[in-house]
Amino acid sequence: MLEITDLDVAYGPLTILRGVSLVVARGEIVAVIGSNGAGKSTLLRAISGLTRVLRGSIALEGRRLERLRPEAVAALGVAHVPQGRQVIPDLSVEDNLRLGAWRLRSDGARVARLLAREYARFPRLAERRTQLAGSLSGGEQQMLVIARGLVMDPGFIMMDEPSLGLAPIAVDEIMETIRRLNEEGLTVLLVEQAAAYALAIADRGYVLKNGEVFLSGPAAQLRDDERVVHGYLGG
Amino acid sequence: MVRLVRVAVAVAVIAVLPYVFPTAYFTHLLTTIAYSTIVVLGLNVLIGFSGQISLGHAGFYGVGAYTTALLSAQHGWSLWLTFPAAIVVAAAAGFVLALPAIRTKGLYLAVMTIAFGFVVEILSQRWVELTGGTMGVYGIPALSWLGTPVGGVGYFYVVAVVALALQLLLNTLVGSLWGRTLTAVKDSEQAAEAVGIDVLRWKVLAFVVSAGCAGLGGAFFAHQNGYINSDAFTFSTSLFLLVALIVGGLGNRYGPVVGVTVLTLLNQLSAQLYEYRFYTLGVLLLGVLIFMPFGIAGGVTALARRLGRRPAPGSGSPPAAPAVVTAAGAARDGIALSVRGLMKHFGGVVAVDGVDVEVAMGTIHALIGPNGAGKTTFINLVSGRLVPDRGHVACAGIALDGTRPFRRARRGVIRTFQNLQLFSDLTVAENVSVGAHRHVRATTLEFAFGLPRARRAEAEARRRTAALLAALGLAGIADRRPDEIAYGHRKLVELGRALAAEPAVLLLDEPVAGLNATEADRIRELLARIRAQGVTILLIEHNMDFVMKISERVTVLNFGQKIADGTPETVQRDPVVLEAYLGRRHGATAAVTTRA
Amino acid sequence: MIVQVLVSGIAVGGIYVLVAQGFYITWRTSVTLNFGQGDFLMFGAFVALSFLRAGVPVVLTAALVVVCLAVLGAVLERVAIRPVMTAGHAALTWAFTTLGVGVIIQNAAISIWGNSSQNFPPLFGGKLELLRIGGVGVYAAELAIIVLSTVIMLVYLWVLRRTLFGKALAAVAFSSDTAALFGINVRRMHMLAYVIASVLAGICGLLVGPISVVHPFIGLNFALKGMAAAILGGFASPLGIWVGGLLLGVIELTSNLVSSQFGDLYPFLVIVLVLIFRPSGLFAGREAGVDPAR
Repeated sequence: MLEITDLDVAYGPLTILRGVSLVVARGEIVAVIGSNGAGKSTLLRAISGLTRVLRGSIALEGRRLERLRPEAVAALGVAHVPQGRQVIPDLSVEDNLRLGAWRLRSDGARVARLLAREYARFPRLAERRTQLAGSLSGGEQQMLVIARGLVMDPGFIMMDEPSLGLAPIAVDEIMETIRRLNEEGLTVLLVEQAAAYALAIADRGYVLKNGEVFLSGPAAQLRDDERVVHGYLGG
Repeated sequence: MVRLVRVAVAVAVIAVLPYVFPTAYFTHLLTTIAYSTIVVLGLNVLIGFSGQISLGHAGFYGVGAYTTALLSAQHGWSLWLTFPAAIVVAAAAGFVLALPAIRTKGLYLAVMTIAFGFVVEILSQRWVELTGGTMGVYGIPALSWLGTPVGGVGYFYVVAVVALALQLLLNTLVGSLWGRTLTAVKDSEQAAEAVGIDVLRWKVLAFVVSAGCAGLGGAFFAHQNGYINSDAFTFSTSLFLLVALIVGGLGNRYGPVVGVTVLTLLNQLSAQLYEYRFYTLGVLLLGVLIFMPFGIAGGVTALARRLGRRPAPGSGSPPAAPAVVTAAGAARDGIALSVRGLMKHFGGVVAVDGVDVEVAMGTIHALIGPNGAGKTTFINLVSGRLVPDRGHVACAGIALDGTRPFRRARRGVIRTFQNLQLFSDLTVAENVSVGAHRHVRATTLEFAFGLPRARRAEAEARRRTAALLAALGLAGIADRRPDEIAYGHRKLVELGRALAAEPAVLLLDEPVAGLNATEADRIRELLARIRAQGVTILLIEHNMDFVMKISERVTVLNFGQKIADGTPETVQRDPVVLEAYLGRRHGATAAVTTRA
Repeated sequence: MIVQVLVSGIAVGGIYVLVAQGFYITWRTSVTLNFGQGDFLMFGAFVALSFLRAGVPVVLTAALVVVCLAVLGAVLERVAIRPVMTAGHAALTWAFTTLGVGVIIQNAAISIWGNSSQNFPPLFGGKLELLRIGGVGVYAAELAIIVLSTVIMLVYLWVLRRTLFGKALAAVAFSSDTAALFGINVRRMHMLAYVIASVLAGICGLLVGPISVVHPFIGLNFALKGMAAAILGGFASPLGIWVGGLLLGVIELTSNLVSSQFGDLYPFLVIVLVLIFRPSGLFAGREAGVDPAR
């Protein structure tokens, strides 16, 4: 579904990604892991059009994405849940979700249905629908941003470190949610620093180190591979 | 020698100019250009060189004009006294405005200066008892020499010579260590503070100098016609000064004279266009900013540089010569940096939670941790950029608590920046030399006139810079700008600047981020050599190969707390650390736990 | 007497509030604002004047002013803001370019309408018509302006808080990257923010007419006072700005009462003093905002 070939991405004078190639097949969960500065967030930003691509190609079902503006990429059904739980703190839970459905805003009935679907999936959000998003707990905010990504009815969703700053119980809940979403047919590209959590639910994984693909393979293999540790802590 | 020729040519031009169109009107115009140039030269120091803003400079201009006008016309003071008085009073006004102004930037600074300009305008209009309001001040005596009034061409010569002298003085200042320090402050206040420069003091200085120049220009204006009134000190005047500077070239030495001349002549020419002439100012401002942001003089300079440019040499290999780095103190045994109980929270989030770290003298100590662990906040707390809620920081036993970043830098705690804060308007050599500026004792006047103490300071900075450039392998690109060199070299320049400041403790924020393996190795060798000279290093990094090879000790942070502290090997095998990075269920974690 | 000063102060303050809201909305979305906002106000006033003198009914005039200023706002964003928001320009370049456009507008006004002061035809029964309310005399025009500016303020708040568009603006203000990921066209949002700001300025022009003389040089004065209102209220909250603007109007009229020698000096002294002691404004900190003192 998503095919990245030989990607170079720079940020100002810094080359962050070098020659990265990656494939995500329809219906898979693919994990991209690695420590900070490895380039994982940059990879997602390049796909969704927030960061310019220097060289290489990104193709979604054959359609090239590198030159598209973020609105256009979103219009193709690609949801990007960025790092750091970017809820809009002064707006309510419901407002945040409605904004997620911005590209569908002309179809009121469809938006209502999608909202209802997410409330059913995340009952805690339904309880807090009128609450200001900034007052939610970390775990609830993470759920909100995932729901916000889902409410645009995407075929493909990318998540950037959903476990960041969350207690293990909340992380387990998030990961379980992602797994169930995938069972319903959603294709997921999951970027994580906490390799264990991501590899536990993924089909395949890529380890990024210093902007390059260091290791890749079926998640089951990577789960026990000591080289993954080298990717993080050297030695 | 070349300089003397240029000055001689300038003097000759001044002498000849009034005779190009020998009318009183033309001479009057030339005189106006001359004293306006004086004002804009000062404005250039403020906006172009120190990076601040003034949209109300007519205020200082007016203060100078009224000071000399009132003292000479109404109190009979001699012009030998009133002119200096005008400069001093205007400079004092600059000082008064600067004190609150330097603590604000951007939009609020702009608004404050506009408000100041308006206040002066209103006072000059309405405080009729003092200024005569719109009726103005009459009977301002003309300049006189040996009893005869100096008017017309003679007055122009006086003003023009003073303007020329000021231009030369400023050229000297700007080309010296003084000017480079100011440019450093403009390009990155943070980086300037990090090498020990008292940024606030320099910003006030720029205000005072520029206000004084405006006062001098205003004084010459007052004595030109024998009469002034409040119409001359409006926002339009401030706007004219600003547009002249921008059109001429902001930050360029000759921007002021070029811009004032062009704008004045344009105004004259467009008088022919009747009602369309008013558009010149607005259209010029808009057009120049969008299409020619460097102004006329700036464009010429840039073109000249591009034509004279040679292709940049490839990255040289580091020479075998040992680094010439003198540490601020001999390598003693003991604790170079001591952090106890450091705590900082933002809103409801605790970024650093009771962290204790001791960095032994002459060692390399790494600080690692997953994303969001609090490492950058920690460095900001140590360097003084953030104030902790609790805790103590000390360097070689001396407490640093409550001191501003530049004072800590002067104690030898020098930091670099993750996102590279190089001074974009300075060359590589100049960037590095700014690091040495904190030791300089010479004053502004000494630099302006090239007095011995200033020259010695320059020589010393130059010597130290040359040695560092050689040691870092940067000599070949010494006169390039940062945006013209490779990223790996830029990292070296920032390191060189830090070294020029004679650090006792170096705080390095991701020194090898974005570098390839070769470049990272080179930095690693450099750091080892620096350590051998007795410098203590605390670094944040994500590149674990690098960290594990170079550090003697590693501290690991997670969620703002210290979770491990030990040798690299110990930390690599610590299950708590692995769990922090990889999560609980990774097979390797379990394997390590069972093995251990 | 006091009531009259209060009413006049609130009337003029209401106009400052609207000017300031124009600053606020563009500052929030793109961290820029129109330094020529006052000149836009002046232009709106003159456009309105021309139509009114030609016999066009007030409501239609208002609509025409809105359209005209909306176009100006879009042009401003395209010509003076967007080209200088790239990395190649210094941080405050937009201040100078918008200033430049303001000067051009000022000169256009002089060309078209001459540079002398003009008076509006009586709109609300004329300024001199006194109403008796509770035994106190107040000018009808001022009351009308208070009512109108309040209504506009409420509509503006409604758009910001209750419509999806207003919430999209909040999203862009929070993070233009995040907003783009929802499919929001961030560039278009910036432009629309400027359209709204300019329309507000134009409406102010229409409101100013009945209570003050209009000439091409009133622009900067209003811009500065609008800025003062925004600073007083903190750049972070429309409600804070509402209070700040009204306060400023009352301060101005009260100081005129006490001593009219120095006229407009006091509002500007207020700005300087507030910025010295409370650089983030009096009401800052209530909502997340971008600090203009950066």
